[in-house]
Amino acid sequence: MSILIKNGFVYDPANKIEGDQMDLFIEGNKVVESIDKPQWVLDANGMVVMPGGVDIHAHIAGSKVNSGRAMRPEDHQGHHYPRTPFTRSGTGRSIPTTFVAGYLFSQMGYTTVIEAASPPMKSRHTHEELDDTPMIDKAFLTLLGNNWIVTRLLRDGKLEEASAFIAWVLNAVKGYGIKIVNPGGLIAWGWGKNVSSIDDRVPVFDITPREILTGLLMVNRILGMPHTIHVHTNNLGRPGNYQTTIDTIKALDPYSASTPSIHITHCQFNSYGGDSWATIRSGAEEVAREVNSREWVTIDMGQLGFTATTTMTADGPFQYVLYELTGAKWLNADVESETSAGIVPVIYRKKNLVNAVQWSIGLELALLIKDPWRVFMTTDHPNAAPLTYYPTVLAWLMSKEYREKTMSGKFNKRARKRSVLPSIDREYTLQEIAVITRAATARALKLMDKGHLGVGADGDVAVYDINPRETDFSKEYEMVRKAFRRAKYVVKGGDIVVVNGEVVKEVYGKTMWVNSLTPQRKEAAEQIVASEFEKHYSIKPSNYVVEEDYLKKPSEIRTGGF
Amino acid sequence: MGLRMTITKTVEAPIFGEMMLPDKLAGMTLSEVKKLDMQIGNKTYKLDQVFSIEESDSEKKLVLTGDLSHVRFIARGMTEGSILVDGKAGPYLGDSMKGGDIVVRGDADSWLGARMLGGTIEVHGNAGDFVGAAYRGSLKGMKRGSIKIHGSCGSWAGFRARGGLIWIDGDAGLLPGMHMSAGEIYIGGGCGGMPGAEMIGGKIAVSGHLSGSVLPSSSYDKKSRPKIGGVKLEKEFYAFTGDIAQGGSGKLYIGEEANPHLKYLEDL
Repeated sequence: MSILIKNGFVYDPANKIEGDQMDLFIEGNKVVESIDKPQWVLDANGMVVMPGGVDIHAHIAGSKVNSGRAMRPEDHQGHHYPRTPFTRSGTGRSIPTTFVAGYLFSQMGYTTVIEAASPPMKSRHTHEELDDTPMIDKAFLTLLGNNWIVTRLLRDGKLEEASAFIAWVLNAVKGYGIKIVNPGGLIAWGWGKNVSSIDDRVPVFDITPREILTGLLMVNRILGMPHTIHVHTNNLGRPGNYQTTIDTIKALDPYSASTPSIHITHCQFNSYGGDSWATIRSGAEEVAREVNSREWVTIDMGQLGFTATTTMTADGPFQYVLYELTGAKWLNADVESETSAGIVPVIYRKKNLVNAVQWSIGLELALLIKDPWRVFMTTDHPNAAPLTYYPTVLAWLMSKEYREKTMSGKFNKRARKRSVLPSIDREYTLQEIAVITRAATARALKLMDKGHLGVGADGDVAVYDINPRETDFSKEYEMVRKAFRRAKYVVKGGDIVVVNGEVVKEVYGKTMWVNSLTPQRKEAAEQIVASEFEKHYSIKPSNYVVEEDYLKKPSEIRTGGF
Repeated sequence: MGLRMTITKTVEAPIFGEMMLPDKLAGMTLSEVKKLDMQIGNKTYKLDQVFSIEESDSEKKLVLTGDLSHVRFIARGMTEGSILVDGKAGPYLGDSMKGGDIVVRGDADSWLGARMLGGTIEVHGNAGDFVGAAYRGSLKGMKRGSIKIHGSCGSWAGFRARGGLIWIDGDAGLLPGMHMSAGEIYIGGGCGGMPGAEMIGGKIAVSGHLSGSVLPSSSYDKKSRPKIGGVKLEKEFYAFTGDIAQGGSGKLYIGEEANPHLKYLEDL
């Protein structure tokens, strides 16, 4: 299929194009220089053209997402998506079914989504769900921060062996990167404990979170992973934890480099000041200062929306705290030798002091960090807000007036005094929006063909029906929300998949995975597997491996000396 | 001036009657009403393919006649107006309604007035399970309004109710008032057992015979004559407080006359 997208205002930050009115050609599944006779001409006159969105952190597939669906029938009620000639049916709001999740992302112009956390052992399930998620290219990050074998190897200082074993795991489960959740804390949770700072010793394993973090940073470098370590810090969701976040960043100072080394995810949840729930305040200023001074740190927002949603994380001890706070239903799970997990439904309310402060923190982080290439827009779907809140978050970033409107009425008065948000005048430009939603995230994931529209890029394009030359984004925020909720056109891999905000064609994207298992590493890893695996697991290594044939459309990325 | 709709189609698949709202239909002409979409199973029909629709001079805004036992979600979220169902009604009748009134001459199915926020429902026949209950998984049952059932109802009446009144002249099944936090339930007939399990507030009165005993987590206070729905009951009831296992302070009343097997309480 050859497509001409005509006369749109193109926002392509990676190629330094800001709102130039130009034509865009797509031939096959790539952007090309020009086409003589395009089969399809999409008139984008007076509209915004951007690369397809790249979401760096969302929970859309895997065993915990599925448990969340089973646990919350009330989340499905009133949110039915009937079958259409082009799409399959589904239900759900904060945890939609796989098909609906794909359609909703596509309708917003997203074409690549990274599932944020999957325990290696549950990867087969994650792949099954990702294969069922249409419209997007996908990958998942693999939980390795609390893996018993990895932790033991790191404690003994065996970096090469740890790298070999992690390369083997990523190859076995077809994962994309190293995700670290509450390093050490989840191991401790197996004994009903947690760690409270990055220098606490983990029971039984005799290692500190600091050692796990630095160890995995080195492993990440040895393996030449495309993405940095993706860290959910210790003490997440507790007042005063901004200090832990800063400690985590500072712990890596001796290893700093000019390229990104650490990604701190859903940073809103780990930037709380104060020392109790009653005295909670924003710690965003302090965190933003540290991030601003280090070019090797990236974060994503984890912006909260005032709505009912479902929290799901591998951070079991935190979910227990949340369950005790809310009294809502709670699911707690343990994945042998690897991680824990928890699910608790929550309702975020404007009049609640803590929720209102949380809301302010996410926006403060995005507005106080000067370089938009290092702060990404997420809502940690569905933890802080469902994915349908993305357009609202963009409108908050683009309009101070809209933020003020949200901060009026029922909004907690004390919360207003405890954050610096009312004093921030910055408003994101459309170019910066393009950075935080696609260009920067694609760069952080080293997806070279995504997040830009240069010749040779993937044919993933979103066209939004909003005229940047006639719209005052700071006043007409409702138009921003409307435009970003339902894209005018979306092209995915050279197919026109969305027209006027409705899905008109179901396509299945590829599943990207990283292979850094060189023959030498394979040999080293197989020795570790032979001696260690059966000590810790109730299954055989051969059942642990997800064969490449099992995936619908695998896309291997070779790295680390391959 | 109102509308009379008579069901003409007989199907086994569920029919979604969400558009049957007097407040929504009031602003429409007859021909507009006939062209409304109606979902049956996985197919979409026009309303006049399923119902014969005519204007009526009944004082009720909407009169539904025939066997509507497959039509679910009638009057969902209704805010005002009145509906008469002259026959059987399907599940989820008056689901989360906020106001107005509904009268059913025949039987109603399960989830009658589930999550109700106001208004009144009167059923001349029987009702199914989950009268005025919370939806599966949700914490929010009926909050305001009243449901009156002249016949009997199934189990789980008033599950997680947060207010309002459920008045049942006949019998109720198991677990009436399970986990209710406020509101009142009166059962004129007997009860299948375990009334007021996990209740933390509100009142339940069972006038007829209770199968089995009261849950051990309901602690006996004394005999009294309670007031339910503004009506002072002219009979002696055994009064309990419960569910103490939940730290609750709900009131449970069991009729003295029909429950001689509870007489031992008087000697405690």
